[in-house]
Amino acid sequence: MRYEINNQLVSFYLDNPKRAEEMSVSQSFVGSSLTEQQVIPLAESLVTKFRGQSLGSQRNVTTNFLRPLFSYFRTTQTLWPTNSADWQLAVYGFFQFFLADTGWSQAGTGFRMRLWQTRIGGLLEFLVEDEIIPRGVKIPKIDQKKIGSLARDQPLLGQPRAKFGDFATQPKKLLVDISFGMTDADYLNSVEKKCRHLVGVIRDTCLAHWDGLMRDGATGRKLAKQVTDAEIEEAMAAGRFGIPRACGGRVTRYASPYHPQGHIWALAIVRHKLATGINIGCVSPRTLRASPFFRTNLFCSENDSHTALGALTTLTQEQWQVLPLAARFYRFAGLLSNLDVAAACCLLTIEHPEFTSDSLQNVRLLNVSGKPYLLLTDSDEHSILSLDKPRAGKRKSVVLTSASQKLMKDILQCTAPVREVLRRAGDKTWRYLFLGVTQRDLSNRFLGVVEGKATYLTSGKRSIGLTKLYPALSLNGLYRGSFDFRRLRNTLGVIRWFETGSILEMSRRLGNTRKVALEHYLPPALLHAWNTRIIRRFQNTLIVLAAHDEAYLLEVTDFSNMADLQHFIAQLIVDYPARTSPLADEVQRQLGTEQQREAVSLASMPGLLSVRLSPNSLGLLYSYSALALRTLAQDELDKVDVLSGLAPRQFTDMATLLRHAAESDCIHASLRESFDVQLLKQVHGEALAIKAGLDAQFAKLAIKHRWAETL
Amino acid sequence: MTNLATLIDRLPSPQLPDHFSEQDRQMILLALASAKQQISPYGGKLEAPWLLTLFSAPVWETTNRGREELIDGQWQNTIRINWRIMLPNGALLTDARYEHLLTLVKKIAFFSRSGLVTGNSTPVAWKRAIGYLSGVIRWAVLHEERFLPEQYGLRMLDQPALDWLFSLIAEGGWTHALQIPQRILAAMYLGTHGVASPQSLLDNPYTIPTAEIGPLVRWLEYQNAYKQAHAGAHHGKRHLKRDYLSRLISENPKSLNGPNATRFLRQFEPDFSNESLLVSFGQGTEFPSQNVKSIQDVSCVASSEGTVEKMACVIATILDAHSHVPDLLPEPAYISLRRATSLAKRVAQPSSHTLFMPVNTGLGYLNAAMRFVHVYGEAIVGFYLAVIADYDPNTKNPGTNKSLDLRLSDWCIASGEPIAVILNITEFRRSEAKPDFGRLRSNPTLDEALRVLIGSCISCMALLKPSREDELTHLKRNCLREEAGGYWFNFNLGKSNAGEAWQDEDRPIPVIAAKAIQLLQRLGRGLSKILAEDRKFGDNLFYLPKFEGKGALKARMDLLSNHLDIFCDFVGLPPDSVGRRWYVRIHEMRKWFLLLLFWSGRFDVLDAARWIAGHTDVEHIYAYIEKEFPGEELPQLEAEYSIDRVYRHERERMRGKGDAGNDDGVDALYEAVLKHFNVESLTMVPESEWTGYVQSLRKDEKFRLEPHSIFGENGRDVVGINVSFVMRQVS
Repeated sequence: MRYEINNQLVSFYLDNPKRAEEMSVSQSFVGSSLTEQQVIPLAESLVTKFRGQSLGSQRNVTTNFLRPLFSYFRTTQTLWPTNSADWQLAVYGFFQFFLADTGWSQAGTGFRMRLWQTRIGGLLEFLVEDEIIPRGVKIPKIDQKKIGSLARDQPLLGQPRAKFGDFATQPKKLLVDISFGMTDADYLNSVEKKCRHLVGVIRDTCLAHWDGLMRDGATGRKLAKQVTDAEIEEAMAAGRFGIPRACGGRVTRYASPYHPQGHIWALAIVRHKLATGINIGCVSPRTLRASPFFRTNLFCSENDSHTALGALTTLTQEQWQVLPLAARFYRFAGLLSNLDVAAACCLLTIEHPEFTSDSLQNVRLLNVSGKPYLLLTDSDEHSILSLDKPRAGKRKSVVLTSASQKLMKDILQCTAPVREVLRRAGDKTWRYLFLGVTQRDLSNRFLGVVEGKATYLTSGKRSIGLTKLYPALSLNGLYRGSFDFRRLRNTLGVIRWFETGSILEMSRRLGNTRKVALEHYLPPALLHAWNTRIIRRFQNTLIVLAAHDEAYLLEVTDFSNMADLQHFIAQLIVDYPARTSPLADEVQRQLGTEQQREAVSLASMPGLLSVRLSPNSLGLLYSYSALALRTLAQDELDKVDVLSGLAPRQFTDMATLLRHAAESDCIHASLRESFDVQLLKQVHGEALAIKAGLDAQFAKLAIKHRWAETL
Repeated sequence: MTNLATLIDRLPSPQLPDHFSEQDRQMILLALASAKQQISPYGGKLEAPWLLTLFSAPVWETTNRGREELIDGQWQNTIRINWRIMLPNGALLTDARYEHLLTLVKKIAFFSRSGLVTGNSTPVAWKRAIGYLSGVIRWAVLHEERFLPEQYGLRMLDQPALDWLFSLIAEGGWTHALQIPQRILAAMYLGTHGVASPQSLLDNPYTIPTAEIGPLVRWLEYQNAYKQAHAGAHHGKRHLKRDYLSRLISENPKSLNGPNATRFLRQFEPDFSNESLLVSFGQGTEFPSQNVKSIQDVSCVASSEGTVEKMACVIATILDAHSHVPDLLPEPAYISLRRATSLAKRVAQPSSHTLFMPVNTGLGYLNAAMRFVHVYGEAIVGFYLAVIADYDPNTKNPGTNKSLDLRLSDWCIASGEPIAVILNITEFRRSEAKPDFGRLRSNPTLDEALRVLIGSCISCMALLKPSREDELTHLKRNCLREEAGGYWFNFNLGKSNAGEAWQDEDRPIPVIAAKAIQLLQRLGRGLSKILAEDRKFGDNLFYLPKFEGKGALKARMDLLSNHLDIFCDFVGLPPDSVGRRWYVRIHEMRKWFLLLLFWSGRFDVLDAARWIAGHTDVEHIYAYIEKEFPGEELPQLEAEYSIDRVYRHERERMRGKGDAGNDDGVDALYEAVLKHFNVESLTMVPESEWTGYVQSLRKDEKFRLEPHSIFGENGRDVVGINVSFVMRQVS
């Protein structure tokens, strides 16, 4: 950011990495008593303050600050102050001018006050720090809350209450309610489960919706095929738009609901119009009504709609009835609605939480020069999507998961006809990904960008959302105020955090800088519980290190039995690989044995485990695994045996892997390579038989006392 | 000049447009009225809830976070400001001729504590700021022919004056600014020779020729200016009486405590002539501490940037008060504090950092502390309480009292052995002028054993839960909580306060720290019952017995440090190459814990570290996180450490000791810094600039730290820990 002053006009050239050409804002002080010499230090100071800040902040320097400031000097003809007393009076005068003058702004009082409170006051304080305004000059502060409440305490008749931001309640940022009082472990466990459950509900619902939509679209295409474009063109050429009624009178139009094949004709005509249309209203209800194929009161009532579609839809009748009449038709015509896009955005968010809902809704398929942002690679295994992330100010690229890749293909397919229409119509929105029928007003729907805003998740006053169609959402507490994209993202972040226990990992997942992750995405209660855990572990680490040779080691730690302590120490050796920190070296030196050190260094390298595929060994493994899973608690499964360095989990996991490999028909090629699947399958059957035998033997084992014999 | 208050009163009411609703009008008028009140000079009475005495009193007693109390008509545990400040010309600030000046200083103090002007209003920081303020006053009086403070207060402090003052402070602190060595030397020379000191001596007060020193010392002896250290490691050595010298030059005795003053005075203290370290003559420990500097290190002592910044804060407070006291203060519009500060910072050195305690030192202390708490704790406390109960300091030989002999075998540890046997305790107390530290370890008194235990308790708490000294010193006895499957520790945050309100916090502590707290609880409860305590600090966790007689120690700043010193001497870790032992301090333990935690967990534990460091309120974590960048000091730790290392590297290099098989990469970092500034040595670069550059390098991850072990000759045994600086294509 830099400035220039020419002819009493201050211009700021703004920092914007995305700019195509130089961006500037300017403000004139013509008419005021100010001189260039007086304005220069101020402009310099402002540049210092706003350099590198967001574009909006840089722009606001003139609109929010210099405009009223110069206006103040102009209107009041105040001179640039020279001593602190004059400055004090000038600052007060500016404050009064800022709040009360309508010449520089028409904004309401609440807005002005908030602006002073959040921007201007702080900026003036900065100018004091920067010695533009002398020290000792007090900048008036507004405690808007206090003033607001004072004013509210004395309301006059017939005056509505002013609306102020609610300072007391923090925005709720999680889908789940966090309750205190459980033990740490249970608590974290329950939070994780609940997060996963809710995300699961959303994913299932949206997937169901999307699949249904695609199937209905396919049905629609199949129906439309029954009438070819040639037939339509022929009818148009012949001027024959319907069939004569048996009782005489006007013809029954081809696309009329009263025509037995009306819905088929209607869908075919829409397909035809999409293929040839050159304006965004080419399939709008108004256009269709004007078409001689359709009735003029199309979609006006149930009778004027194609009820035949109701029998073909994948939606339940309750859901079908909720949809607006036009929307039911467009669904079969394969045109996306806001609701559909909302569901798609949910699915994409779940797959790729690094994208914000804003960036998803504004996603473009091609950039201005026609370069695609979505790269579908040949192998069909990886697609790469890059999006603008507005706040981060740069593009984010991700490799799409297979689920979202399929979704993306669906979207591309059903938006292709619309995209062509928009292109032909010269509409520049054709580059966007989500195209369909916009719901700008109910009577007329145009083709264009559809936005799956949060209001289409939870239904607004004039919009139908997913929650209205799918009661499962509301039943799980997902309704207006507790279900939106931000909460969904945050919840995914928390789940991710549970998976890794790392804030860094989570912020990577959310595509944010670390600072943002800490400030916005960790629920405080979770943070507290987790921090407690980290601290308690570290405290005990220090204690173990300090007293590892002492007889009283167990007693001075927090552990009450030797097994737990050893379990903890075993974890330490793994958690603190040598040469990662001074403490880690201490851990290895004092606690690790040569053997364990080797084990640790081996564990960190990918190794190969050879398993001898004998029926007996597999049978024993299966039997052990079943026994362990049946009799050991979850935490006992993870307990590392100090002598062997192994935990039961390792065996149960191996058993599961082998069983899956043997029983499943589709194994990944690389796994197939590692396993001798042929032999495995063969041995597996025998092993199962042996396992049954072993189980039976085990079940019979018991300690018996035979009193009678010993007596 | 018309009074600002009158001008503000005369401001017309605004003409609000007609279309503004009645409510908007009300809101604007309220905002304007409130603004007028905010900008008006203070016109109220000079009274405040925190000021316990009258404004006019020569000594102010002020509140101290609720710890103050009135006992027998005397205020105790207050933050006390004595306005009878000795001025360089021999007068007192409270003298009638300085009435203007005194009222001015008092008003500034009043406004800053009341939050009407900038400046820290927490009691301790406020008192420190007043110390600086008094320095400014004394400096103005020292040059009274120029500033005429009697008449104009501080109004004559213009930009050149501030530039000058700041440079003086940067060059050598207040000792230098107030010309302490020169004034003492002048007075001594005049006394010795009857004529004024030659300018050549005054110009180099730290290197007085030996020939000159002899007569001066003899004169000082004649003046009875020496006395022998009556206790501590330097028992019997003669040192100059600081009180006498400060009277000689009409100064506050505290002004003679700085490293520069000590270095100057050491020239006249032949008993200390063989000390290469700037030891304190009152040193109570076996060895000087790790923080004691060598005389050579201090030889070019400039102040730290921190000092300059604190000075700037105080001057900002003074300038801020101008609107309230315009007649006696300089016009802020004509003064650039930034200019004065940046001039001074060219001379000043970077603020020193808390040294990082070696890992093994910390672990060693922790183990010793845990042994005392866990194995001996119960027995020592029980033994001590039993003996102190019928201790009579007025008997002939109170050190070996009967009840001790009777109970020698009563108090046993878990194994059944009497504690007296294990530690070889044979006496209750011993009075010896020159402490025998060997005997402290081999045959401690019961009192000493208790002190070691107290030091152990402090170490257990502070090593396992990073704390601030103030937070621990003033802990209440009921600070222990047990809930949610563990022990918690409740304390008042030493920072993050708003005005005069402090928040309290719960943080997890391990069982051994809880045990330490329980021991202190038992000791304090027992002792306060025996002493029939009714003062506020009777509820303190650290309610500790006096070293002599029968009574309790006050919760003063050095309460915990004294016990930690005894603990460290008892543990007896070997001293370093220049003869210093690591006497652990609360803030060092805090840093030790946090840095190790950070190192071992990196950014995954960043937040946990911020939290345990007490940067937030447990009830408002969320709000707090949103407001403040968390762990501000933690990402800084590695950069700090690097700067520390670069700085040390530079010093070593300057002494010609560098490049001695140093393969940790700090030289590469050092070279990179030199290259960036295109200089031969860092002394050519303002410290803030190169430290800033190191920080930015660290921030941009142009280098990273990699701690690793140093192996012994056999290639297996770890003999130390080193931190490598791994550079990555530094441009």
